[in-house]
Amino acid sequence: MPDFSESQKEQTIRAYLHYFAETEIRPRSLEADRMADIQPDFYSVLDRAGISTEMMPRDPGASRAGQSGDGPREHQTLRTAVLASEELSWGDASFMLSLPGPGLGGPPVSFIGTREQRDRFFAIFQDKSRPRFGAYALTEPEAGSDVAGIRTRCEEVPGGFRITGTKTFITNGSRADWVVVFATLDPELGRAGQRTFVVERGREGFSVGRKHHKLGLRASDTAELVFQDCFVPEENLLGGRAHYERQQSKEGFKVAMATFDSTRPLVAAMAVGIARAAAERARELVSERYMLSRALPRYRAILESLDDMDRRVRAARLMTWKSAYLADARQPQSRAASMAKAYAGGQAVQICREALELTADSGEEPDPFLEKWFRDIRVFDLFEGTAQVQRLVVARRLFDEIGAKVGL
Amino acid sequence: MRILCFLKAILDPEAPPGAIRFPGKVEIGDVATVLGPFEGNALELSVQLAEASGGSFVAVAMGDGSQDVALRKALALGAERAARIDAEPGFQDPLAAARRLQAAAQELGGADAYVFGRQAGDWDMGVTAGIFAGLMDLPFVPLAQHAEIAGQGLRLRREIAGGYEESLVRGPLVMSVTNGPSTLMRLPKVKDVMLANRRPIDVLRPADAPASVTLHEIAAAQVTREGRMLTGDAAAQAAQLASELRRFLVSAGGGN
Amino acid sequence: MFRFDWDDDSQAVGELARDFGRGAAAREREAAEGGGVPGELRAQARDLGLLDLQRSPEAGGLGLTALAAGHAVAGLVAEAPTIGTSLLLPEAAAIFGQGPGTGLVDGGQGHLGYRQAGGLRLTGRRVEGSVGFAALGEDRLSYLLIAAGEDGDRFCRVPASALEIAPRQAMGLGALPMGRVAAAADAEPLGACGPRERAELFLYFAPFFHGYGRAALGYARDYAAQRKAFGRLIGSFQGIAFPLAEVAMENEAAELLWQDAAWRHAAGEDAFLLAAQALRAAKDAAFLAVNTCVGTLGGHGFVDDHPAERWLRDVETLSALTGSRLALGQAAIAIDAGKEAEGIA
Repeated sequence: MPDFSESQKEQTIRAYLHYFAETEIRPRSLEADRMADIQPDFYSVLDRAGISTEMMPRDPGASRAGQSGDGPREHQTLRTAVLASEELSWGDASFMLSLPGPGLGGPPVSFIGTREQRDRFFAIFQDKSRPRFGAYALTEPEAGSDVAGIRTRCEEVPGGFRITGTKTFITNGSRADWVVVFATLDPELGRAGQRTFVVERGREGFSVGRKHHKLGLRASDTAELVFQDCFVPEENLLGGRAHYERQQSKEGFKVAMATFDSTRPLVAAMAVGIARAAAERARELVSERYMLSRALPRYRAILESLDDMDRRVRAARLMTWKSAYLADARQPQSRAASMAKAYAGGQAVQICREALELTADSGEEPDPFLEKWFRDIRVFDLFEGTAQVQRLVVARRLFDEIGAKVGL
Repeated sequence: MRILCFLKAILDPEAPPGAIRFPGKVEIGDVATVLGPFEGNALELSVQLAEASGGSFVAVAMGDGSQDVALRKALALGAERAARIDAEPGFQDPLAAARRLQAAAQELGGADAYVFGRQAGDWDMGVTAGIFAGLMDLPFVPLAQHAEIAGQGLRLRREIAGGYEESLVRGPLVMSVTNGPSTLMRLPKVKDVMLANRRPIDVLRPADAPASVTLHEIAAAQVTREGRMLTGDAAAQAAQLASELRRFLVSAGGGN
Repeated sequence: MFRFDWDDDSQAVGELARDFGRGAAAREREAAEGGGVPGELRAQARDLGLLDLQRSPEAGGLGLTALAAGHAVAGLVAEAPTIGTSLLLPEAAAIFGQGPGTGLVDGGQGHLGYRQAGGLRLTGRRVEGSVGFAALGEDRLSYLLIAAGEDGDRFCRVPASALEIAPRQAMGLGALPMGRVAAAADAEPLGACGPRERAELFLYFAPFFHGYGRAALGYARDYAAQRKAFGRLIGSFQGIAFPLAEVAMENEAAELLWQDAAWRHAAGEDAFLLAAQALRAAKDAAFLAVNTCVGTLGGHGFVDDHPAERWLRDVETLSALTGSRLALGQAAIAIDAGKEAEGIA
């Protein structure tokens, strides 16, 4: 039976993260946004608070059917991660994206990497002497949604590969200790020609291009990465050659795409956190500004709007929870994950806009948090799969249910 | 009258094509397991006979826990007892299967009528019931579409070309049941469905029987397209067609 | 930790309801065009227990929770929308402990006074007034009425013969008896109809809309998978496929909101607001679904060769019978006003 109960432990974790978001993230949020950087002292606070991305599934493979040797014990990793994502993003999603750890580079290493590679690349996060980051570099200036169209080339040379090309919009790109890089042996080969590497910072031929100036999530580092004949040894080819032999039967591509099934719920949860923050703030401001001076019936529309926002936040959260639950229960959740991201992303943009509209009044300065969240939220319908791509996935799954090949 | 009704749950025949994949072994994905359609007919007939005779029926299935869905349907429709012969899922050699069913039937105390669906909806071999009858040394009436108590025996009817065939059988028998107006499985009541979820399913472990037939390979059919569009006006196309047909007949050994 | 799976009972009952719906589907059109629900289907539904899902065991029912019963209702209505709704909607009184044969007519003011006009009034043991449009049932022996009392809405019961019923037809739900109900009779008072009872009613109604949502999505999807235009299947056009994806999302969101509200209500929380929101979301999602279905079918969606146009009529008629969206919204506002009266006068 569907069950929405929360254990004492879960309540405690959530309350603690919320407290951390309220006392450590929010006070830094506006300044970090202005500086387009996270304050350095945040990382020692993070460390002292014991918050790390270990609460995120380090091995999302454990949540995927058939990917791990774990028994039938019920996993809760993605559900816990989703709760954490929402609370921390309620604080500031830029800070959430700036948490040390493998970040979006984690899932490919977990899914595709050999045991040795997983040990090697994840080992650096044990060193807490400074914040360490992973990154995920797929997008290029000319290839966003069209993943098969990437042009960063990798050429086989003795002992490894040489990589040449440019990657763009890479989160934590300028400070990552290593980056998961997607390149192609030959664009004509399409997906069959794609290879995935881990490139460590400091390799010759790998440099950081410009940092992007963005509409929102300004404090999150987003950079361009440039590869010019960057040599990468054989042992950095993720999964080794054996993986690509399997990929000829589309196994590898399927696995690569499966990583999105675990990150989409997390991204959806971030959108829910921002939307919830905006809805709560709007309600606070409306209450403060219309105290005791006007008769209620004139403001029915406001209350209806607030009620509507609450409902949409709740619906988005439930869709996100459901996709996380399905992942934990090792059931197929590609459609649920895409629905959660599309719904949460789209609704959150509307909610943030409505929050701003509700509270804007001539003669009053717009609330800086609402403005910031309005700017921040827009990317949630763009990264990790655009709104259109998510709808494509959902629609394709709808036709898959009846075995229809419509050519979508 | 005491009836033993043999059931099987199969991968949902309504699953979309492509949901079950065959790269060397069957990949089930998230396709559900459901009571086989002809087993539903067998179950309905068993219920009818039990009601008409004031007797009872016992439902038996062979396989792993995925077979329980079939047994629960039988319990919801009034089975006195449900038993599962523990076995690995997948292809079963019919002779070995029949031997195990025979052993289970003996363990369950035998019956006046042994009722099967005409064929299981997955492997569609349709021979286990007949082999079982042979092992039990009992008369076998296949493809029954209607059954009623007739004195000391059973009258069974099935459709044949141009009419019906009726059999009157006295004494214990084996029958297989097929679809027909009388054998459409009824829906169980809600309360019986809920009660059925709470009743135990006995697990039987008769000795393994050696398999004489094993599955070697299973693969999806490869679709190929080998066609050619004929060109030109009607006369030219006719000439090409004639030439192609002659070539085909010659290569297929059809002579001239 | 939250979970979204269904227990064995709910799954099995849901499957049974769905199988019944599939069997009934062939007679949808006949039922909708004035034939009403065929007698043998009604008898079968009663015999199987489908009309008693949420009725308490004391009243001769199966005592399923709102969650389990609603799951079954949505599944049945998804297969046979008109027949399913016509059979099950009039059984709403079951959720208030009434036995079979008792209908429900809501003439109350609603929690916190959201209904403005008409309705029924209960003074002592006397109920008077009228409700312009209500879902009736077949062969009702009595009716559970919701009427405005001195201190809020109250339940009372009258024999069916005590009511003056003028049959009414609306544009949809042709198999469901509906009518104007007038009362001027002695009634048996049966307690208050407060926010918990209102929540239960909202939770009862929402699954009907979920059923229409699922039916419409499935039908549109199936059509898009076989209809060709411009040399290709229309499902391959994003302009067709994306709205289907939107419907899938809105259907899912509405169903999850309902599950959440039903669970919290069962756990003893005050879920009035959540239930009102869930019903409102269900109505909106169902409308989007049936409207998109008509649109996907194009001209064919406008004529009665396909059920799409009937479902569009049905959903709006069903919506009128189950409390207007405006009223549901105002219920929420009233709650908010109560909570924040100091901040928003």
